[in-house]
Amino acid sequence: METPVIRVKNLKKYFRVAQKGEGFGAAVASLFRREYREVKAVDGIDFDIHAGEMVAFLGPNGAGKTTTLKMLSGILQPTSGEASVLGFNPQERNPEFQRQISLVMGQRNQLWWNLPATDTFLLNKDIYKVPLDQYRLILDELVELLDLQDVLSSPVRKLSLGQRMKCELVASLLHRPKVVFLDEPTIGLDLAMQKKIRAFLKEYNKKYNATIILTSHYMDDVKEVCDRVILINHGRKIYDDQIKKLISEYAHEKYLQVDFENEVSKEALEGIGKVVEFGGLQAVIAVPRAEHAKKAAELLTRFEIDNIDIQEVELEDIILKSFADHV
Amino acid sequence: MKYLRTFLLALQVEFSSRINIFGWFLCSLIPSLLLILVWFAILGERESISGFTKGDFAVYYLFITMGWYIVGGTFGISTGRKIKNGMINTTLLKPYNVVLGQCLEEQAWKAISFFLALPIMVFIVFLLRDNISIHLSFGHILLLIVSLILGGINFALIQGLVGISAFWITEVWPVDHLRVILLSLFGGLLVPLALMPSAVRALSDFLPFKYMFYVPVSILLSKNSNPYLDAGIQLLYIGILFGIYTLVWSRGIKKYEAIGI
Ligand SMILES: Nc1ncnc2c1ncn2[C@@H]1O[C@H](COP(=O)(O)OP(=O)(O)OP(=O)(O)O)[C@@H](O)[C@H]1O
Ligand SMILES: [Mg+2]
Repeated sequence: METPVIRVKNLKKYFRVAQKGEGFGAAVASLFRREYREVKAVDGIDFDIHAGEMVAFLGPNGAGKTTTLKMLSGILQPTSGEASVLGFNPQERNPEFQRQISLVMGQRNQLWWNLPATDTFLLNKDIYKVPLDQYRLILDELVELLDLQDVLSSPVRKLSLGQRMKCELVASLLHRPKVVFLDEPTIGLDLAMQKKIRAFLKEYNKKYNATIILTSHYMDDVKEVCDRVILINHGRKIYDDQIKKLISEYAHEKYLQVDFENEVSKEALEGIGKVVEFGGLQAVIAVPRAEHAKKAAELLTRFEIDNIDIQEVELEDIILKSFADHV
Repeated sequence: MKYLRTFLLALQVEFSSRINIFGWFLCSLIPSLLLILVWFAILGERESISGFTKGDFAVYYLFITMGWYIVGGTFGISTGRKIKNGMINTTLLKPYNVVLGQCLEEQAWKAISFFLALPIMVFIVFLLRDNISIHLSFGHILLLIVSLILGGINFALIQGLVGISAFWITEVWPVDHLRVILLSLFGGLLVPLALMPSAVRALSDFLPFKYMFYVPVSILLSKNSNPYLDAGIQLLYIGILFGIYTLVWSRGIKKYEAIGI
């Protein structure tokens, strides 16, 4: 097998944080005696990622996702452990390495606030030494794809959040990075825009065989963009595999969502499967995946049924469940 | 050409924001004019003090006011703030020197201020024309320009050091304040070093501060015994400060916490 693009071994980042109690008195006290607490933001993570993979980093707030991305992109030095990206050690911040990566942070801006976004693009063109004809080509393509024609000449400060985010993406991808780290790229965007950005990322990945690592709290980002998930919690990796596999591992069940003609009793339904939701005229029943057709048929014969839907368990549920299993 | 581009973008920002550079210039002019008046009063009927005539004092302070826009600046503070709140994250990712970028951005308002201030300066010099006498050969002018540039680089390195002290401390302004005091005392910003107590003068020979403003202004006034040596020491200090800067940066960046999101 080819060598991985990203290789992480026992990577750790511990922060020392000064502790202070509540209120003014504690503030004065902390002048004289300061207590420190060690925060294990990333606590020994390992993984390999190959060229062209689209990986989702998932985990609750404070899990260590952003910290990991910062270390992989070379702006934060690990406490210990090894990371290698495209054969480079990120913390050396080799220009050759920097020209091949990008980190997009949903809430950090690189655009010049008082100037139109195109000025920042030009600066990035110079920084990354993109030849002019190639710059024009890429810019046109990105602008077209993200539907940005109308906003390019207004100062960035006058753009909406979503417009800014799109410009941010353009600025980050002008040099066609081979590895793209995205930290919550769709945060605060409307649904249509989220969809567009997802489609765009997939397209970018396909076209340039780019490796994409993305964190998000929106499961749709994950489902639609990524093939593989890495779940982290408290700075440790708790799951790492293809999304399909995760779903099949956890989704032993399907949900039958039923609307009844007449009121039924919960007890009567429990013979069919596990009642997840119940409302007299409606119910959601979890049944084993392999038997869902049989169970649906059984429902139809035993009750007066208005409508029946067979649903997959949501990825959200699976993720929550897998976090719960690994505590 | 990325740094040239940075400078050009910063120029555009200055033009578009139209902040009151003019007002700032007038404010910075007042202390200089006051100091000139004070020295005129002290001199009274006397010809000179320690070799400084009325004209010398006028040239000295006016030159420092204008020279500020060539040599001086304040990017240490803004760099420190950006380090503190993680604003350098996005630049640190790129093949781009964060601090040099900050420095180049600052050159924009300095350049604009310089050209806006020039007519006022010419007018003041015209008013004081009877007191001022400067005799410079072409070689002298060349040396003056070189010395200003070297002084500017020295000053920028000190500012860079002030800025990256933010890797260790929460606020950089006290450090910057210290820099101002040292520069006023040992760099001749407040009073020409020639008029300072001998202890201060002796100490200033072993500090970099006089190689920023004082050496060029002395060249202008033809007061250095050996201007070429002075320029050479300026160069030497650039080497030393650059070495220190590089060392401090490489230590600091390891401590950098990349705050934010
Ligand atoms: N500079 C810092 N100093 C101290 N602690 C920090 C620092 N940066 C992060 N942490 C801590 O490290 C942990 C991981 O933070 P991180 O930002 O990586 O989380 P995350 O997984 O990205 O969470 P979120 O989903 O909220 O963005 C948190 O507990 C956070 O408080
Ligand atoms: Mg985060």
